[in-house]
Amino acid sequence: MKIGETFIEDTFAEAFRMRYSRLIVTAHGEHWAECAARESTGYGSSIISCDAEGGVERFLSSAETPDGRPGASLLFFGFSEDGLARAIPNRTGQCLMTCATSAVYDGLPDVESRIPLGKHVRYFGDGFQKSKVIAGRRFWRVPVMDGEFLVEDTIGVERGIAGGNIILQATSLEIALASARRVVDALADMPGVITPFPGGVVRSGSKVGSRYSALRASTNHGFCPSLRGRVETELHEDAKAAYEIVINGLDENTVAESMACAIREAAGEGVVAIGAGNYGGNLGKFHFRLREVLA
Amino acid sequence: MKTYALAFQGEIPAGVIDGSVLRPDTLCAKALVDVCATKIRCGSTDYEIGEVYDVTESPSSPSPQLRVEGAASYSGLGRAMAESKLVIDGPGGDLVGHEMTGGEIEVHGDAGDRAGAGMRGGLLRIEGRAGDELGGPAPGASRGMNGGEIVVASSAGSRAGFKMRRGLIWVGEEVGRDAALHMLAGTVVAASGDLERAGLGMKRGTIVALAAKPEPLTSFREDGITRAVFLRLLWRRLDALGLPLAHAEAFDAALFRSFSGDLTTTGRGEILYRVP
Repeated sequence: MKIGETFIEDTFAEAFRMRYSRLIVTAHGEHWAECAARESTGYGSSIISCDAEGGVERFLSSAETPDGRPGASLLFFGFSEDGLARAIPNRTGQCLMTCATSAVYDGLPDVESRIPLGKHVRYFGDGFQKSKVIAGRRFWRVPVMDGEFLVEDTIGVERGIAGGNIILQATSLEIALASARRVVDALADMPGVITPFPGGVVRSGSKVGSRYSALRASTNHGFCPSLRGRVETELHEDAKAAYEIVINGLDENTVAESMACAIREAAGEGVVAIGAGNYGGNLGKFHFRLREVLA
Repeated sequence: MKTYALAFQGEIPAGVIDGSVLRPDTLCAKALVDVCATKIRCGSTDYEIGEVYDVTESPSSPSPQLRVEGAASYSGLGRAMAESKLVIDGPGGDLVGHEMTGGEIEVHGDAGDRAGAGMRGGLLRIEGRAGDELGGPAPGASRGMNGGEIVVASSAGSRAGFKMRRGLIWVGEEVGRDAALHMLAGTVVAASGDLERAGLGMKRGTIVALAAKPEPLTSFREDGITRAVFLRLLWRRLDALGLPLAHAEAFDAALFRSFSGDLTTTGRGEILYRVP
């Protein structure tokens, strides 16, 4: 199967069931909203070593946020509620409360399963914090140096999917980068998905395990152009660079649609092949076959 | 669930009418004949509803409501109701919405004393004025309303929000003296008028004064000017309740002088006076 000159491999992406929460972060102006969003989703690339996988779902206009200020919708994925219950308050305390003028709201207010957020973060107020219930939702007002940090008491947790992906191969670094950016730009507008990793792109795709026993994952050597002469390569013969785009989403349909969008955006002149990362189908519950999601 | 309307047959019975049986979540689930047979106490006499009111039934509705002709002699209309809507055409009497936990009550007239006393949820709208101890404690209770929202279009009597524990009270006009007396938490918003002796003995909670002169009790201390973010949520909530804040955005830029008190208690309450 081909899209233009790009070969679509007959393979699948292997994805996992994870839990996610959505935070709505607002601030006094777009600049500070973006600062808060970027800071809090940093070091949120892979759950292999990060406490959560995080990303900006989309930026929000002042008409779309609870307090009428510009903001962003952030998604954080973790293997369990407990994991998210540790990661998100930590990130909120270190990256959001510290950001000038920010406020944090639950983006899943109707979800029954909940984890504490402001309930923990409030203690920074050293006894001067105040709570306020508005329209049935409890918020904490923590006094800080520019006024108050407003944070919702609890946030909802839902079941999502992490690890949808494509791997694109191109005849040059520049073409590969341009292709990857087209994908990330297209997915930025899609609700319900994030592309964790720097700029939404992974250059160090990994395989399970390592010759070093302490490591759970190591470089996916089959996709490394510099090892072509030493290992059985998985690269197309004309490929000089490959990138992986990892997609986490709210449900199967969203991830499948996002992968289809990603494949179509990635394809183009100089992109010789598009495949996907998997672990033989034994680890992840969800298998997204590239050719099927395009159908 | 059905919709019923109750109008007095001729004169209003003498004495206090026990309004606690007139709640939509129970009556609207009954057949017309059962509604008419329901006992209601007026003064010292027990009647059947069908003896006191003309009861008319409307077709089943996804949003059932009970419509009642108002009278100042009611006590406890809609008491402890948990869902559906009660509309009162005329005065609501004392203790309207007493201990309600959900649903909505609309009073198309004045309410007597202790409207919303001990309320725990739902929405109580009063188009006229409210009497004393709006949102205060239920009879025999030590704490005032513990949730829900009360909206008074006109004025409120003294001690609005007395011992209030949680929830929101909005008063569109004058609020009587001693508003939020011994308040434990919650929010009282006074859209106009002065707030005489407001917040006396309050432990926590917020009084928002949109038009009052910033003259708090001497046991309050000024913290400075604030534009707290939570107020933006409050304006939007009031906007959603259809209050005359049609443009919440206009209030977003408003500045408030903040006073903490009552320092004779915990000092964790606050009065926010809008800066003109």
